[in-house]
Amino acid sequence: MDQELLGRLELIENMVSQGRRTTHYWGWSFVLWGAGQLIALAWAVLSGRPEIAWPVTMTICGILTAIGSSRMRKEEGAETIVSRSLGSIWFSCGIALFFLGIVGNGAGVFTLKSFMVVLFALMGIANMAGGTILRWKTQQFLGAIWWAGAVAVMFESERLILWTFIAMTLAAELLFGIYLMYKQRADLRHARTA
Amino acid sequence: MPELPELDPLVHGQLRLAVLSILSTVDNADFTYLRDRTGSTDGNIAAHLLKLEQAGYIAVEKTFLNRKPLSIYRMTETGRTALTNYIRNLKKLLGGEFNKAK
Repeated sequence: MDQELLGRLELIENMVSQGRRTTHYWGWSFVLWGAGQLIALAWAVLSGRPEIAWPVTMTICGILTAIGSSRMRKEEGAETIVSRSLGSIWFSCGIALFFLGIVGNGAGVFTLKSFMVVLFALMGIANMAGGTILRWKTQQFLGAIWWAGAVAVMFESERLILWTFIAMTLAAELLFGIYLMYKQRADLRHARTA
Repeated sequence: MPELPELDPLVHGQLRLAVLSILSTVDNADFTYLRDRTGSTDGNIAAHLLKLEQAGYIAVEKTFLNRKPLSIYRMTETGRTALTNYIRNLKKLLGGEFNKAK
């Protein structure tokens, strides 16, 4: 009898850990936004029309992210508090950046420097909060790097700010996204052989 | 001698307990997710889900995805209370065994 009851207790623990396990992988979205920002920057510099390049590119990235995340949710089959928390953080920061970028820059409220400080700070918040929820030090470190970037930008020239932005986009979005996609493939391979 | 608590038979069934345990950790889950995570079959899990639904332990929302029916399950407050009571009683019954297992 005791063995049967202990078995039930073990079953509860196993199922709870199954439910908490998330198979959501967001590497593709980091790559998408990193590439999108670099494309927007190049388009803005080459055409001299940043007021068109940025909103168009960011809107396309937003639509692609919405489609991709919706597909991921359907494939996973379950919604957890963790996935909803992470989604809400990135969604809120993304929407805030979008409106600050469009309205703030359009109205001339921001200089390049002040906007970049806001952008870096919000990216730091999203990464640090995400890393804290997942108890993942790598992403928390990334959040700290974004914040350090925000402080550095306050004291940099406009030219150096652009290079800092490019470096952060390459390292903290593109490369980090590629690393996550590699991790996803390794995890799936491990799961298939386990 | 203290009276031993009784375990809710509806929760005690292995598959039903597995389903309730999973649903206690997620906001909602669809039929395929629950079937795969519990390692059950369509017919078996459908019968147990119906029992839990009839008892008011879980709620189901039936919808369509790409023209295919999709059932999304979530735990109700009654179900959460039933699972909490079940675990409390299980621990009481196990007594010393539970502490050893920990």
